[in-house]
Amino acid sequence: MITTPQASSGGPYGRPQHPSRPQSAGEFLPACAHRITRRDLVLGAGGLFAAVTAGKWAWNSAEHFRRSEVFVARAESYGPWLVDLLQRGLTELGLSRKKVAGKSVLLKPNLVEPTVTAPHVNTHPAFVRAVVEAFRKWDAREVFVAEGQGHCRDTTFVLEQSGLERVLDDDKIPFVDLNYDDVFTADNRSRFTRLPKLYLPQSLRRADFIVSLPKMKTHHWAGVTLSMKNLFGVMPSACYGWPKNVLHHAGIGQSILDICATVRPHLAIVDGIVGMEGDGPIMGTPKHSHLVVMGTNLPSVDATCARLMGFNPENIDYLRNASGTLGPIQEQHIAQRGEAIAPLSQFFTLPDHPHFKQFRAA
Amino acid sequence: MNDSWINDLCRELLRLRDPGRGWGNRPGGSGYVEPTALAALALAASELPETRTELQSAVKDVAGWLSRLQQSDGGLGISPELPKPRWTTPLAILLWSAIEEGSMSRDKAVKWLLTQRGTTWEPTGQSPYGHDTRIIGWPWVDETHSWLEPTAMAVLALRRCGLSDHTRVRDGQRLIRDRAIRSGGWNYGNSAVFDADLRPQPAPTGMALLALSGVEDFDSPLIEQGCAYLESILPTTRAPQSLCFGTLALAAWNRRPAPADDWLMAAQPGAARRSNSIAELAYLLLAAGKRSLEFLGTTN
Repeated sequence: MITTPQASSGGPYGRPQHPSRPQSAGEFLPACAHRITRRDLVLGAGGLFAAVTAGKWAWNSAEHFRRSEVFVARAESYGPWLVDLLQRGLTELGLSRKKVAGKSVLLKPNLVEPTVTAPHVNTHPAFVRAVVEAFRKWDAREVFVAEGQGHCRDTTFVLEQSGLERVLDDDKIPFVDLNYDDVFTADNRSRFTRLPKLYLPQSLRRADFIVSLPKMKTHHWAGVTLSMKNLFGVMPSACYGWPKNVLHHAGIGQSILDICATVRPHLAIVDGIVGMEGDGPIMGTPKHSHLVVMGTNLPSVDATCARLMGFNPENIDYLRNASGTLGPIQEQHIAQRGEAIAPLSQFFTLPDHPHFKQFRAA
Repeated sequence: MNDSWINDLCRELLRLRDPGRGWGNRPGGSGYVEPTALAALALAASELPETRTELQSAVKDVAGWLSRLQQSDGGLGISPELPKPRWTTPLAILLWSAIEEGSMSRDKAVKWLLTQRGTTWEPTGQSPYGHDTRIIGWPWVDETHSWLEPTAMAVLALRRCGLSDHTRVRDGQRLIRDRAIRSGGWNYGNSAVFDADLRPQPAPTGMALLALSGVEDFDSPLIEQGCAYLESILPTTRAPQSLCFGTLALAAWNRRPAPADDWLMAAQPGAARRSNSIAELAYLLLAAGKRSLEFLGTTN
């Protein structure tokens, strides 16, 4: 059963709806002006059925009239200059110092594996630092980093080897190990899987803004791993295992949707400055894509990233199923801020194996 | 190892505990099974004469708390509020095996552990995985696949209880061998995917080597490569869990590095500052414990 997802009027910031969005589905229903006869009723019923069917088709193909905005920027490298770029993007998306001041911000990077030799596996520590700084400059009450990595139980080892520990210590950024956080159970809001409830870490309740900070990478099971797949790392491994096999058994694509629908993150900021192509999410090669992508609707962010990576979002299962339900993925329904997609789009390669053809199907 | 350092670590762990219940994931937090069993096991293994009475009293108290949490079928969950999953049970078995009063709880838990199985399947066509999906080990969560760490911990717990020749232990060791990465070492249990070898990690490598101690030859390539990986990675880390299982495993194979004590002591300040300080300090203490290898069901 699919429950009604949160309304998409630009997220929690109260922005005006997209100008092309109709006021309601009722606009598709015919009006009646004369005395109603039985013939009228029969014809009217048939007409009503046709109209409702047409309306439903229009509703679905128009992604339930959902619209969103995504900000795309080019960034040559990691460094303190990212802070201004990030604040510009946040402003374009409707955030401001007024909306962030006094708030608690949870940043969820992708620290899937402990590695010194392959820094393109994880969200870059300098990227995390810049995002922290961007929110701190806007007087957030607290900005903390939280991760529940699924491949390595030794969180200290992951933080150390990824280089993030040094940044956390130097900048005095609090860190929460979500794998060992106190948990609460939440009803699965979308039920794409058969999991009736999800265990979630209490730290989610502490945060006013939940921000997904993924790496832009290919993924050998999902096609791509971006802001939505990154939220697997919110699920406590003490409850789900290392790896989180419960979610794999339930279906990776379906689990991605359920987690996003239930956690309801507020923002995604994608580290695509150096991404990964090939055999992602851990054994691929660096892709110097020089991209930062931001948005308040995660399906829209991921769909935009997929296009930038040379993928058709309709070929990515979880994105196709997110369409309309969790947000728009069609390009005409996503208002592009910052740079245009076409000039920045790059072909992220996949391994030469029959399994990967599905992600590039025509 | 410096007895004074071990003594200080013991006192710090005791200070962080609320009497009458276990340790939490963080100081002041409500009790959880894993940090409790780990801390108590580490205290029991430290064997310091001057604090023996105090330590024994705390360990018994905590073992009793775990016994009261034990479910009717013998398994243990994550905490009093989270009865499942039950991957913590082998750690409790190791603790109960370390004290005289733990035998009833231990035997009940062993019976439960022997019934637990990871899911298996026959590969169809060309499997993308590098391991044999048909070998039965232990999962993290009921009705999921077997993985390296829960299997290694189950093997250690069952060996500690005198079941080294049990079929399940043999199968568990077979699984551990099968999940070894071709270049050396182990990780969470995926050796390769789509023909690409994945990366090893020190803590699972340590657990695997401990679980294979006494059943592999010293010069077997599996052991040589695993130990070589640990010898290369341990000097680069101050992560207590990795140092604990890494140094204990090398000790079990008579290759404990000379600077190991220095690494453990250097890791303590960072461990004490972190939010999960209890488990971190417990790993350091366990790594230094005089009877740790014995209490983990291994000998060198």
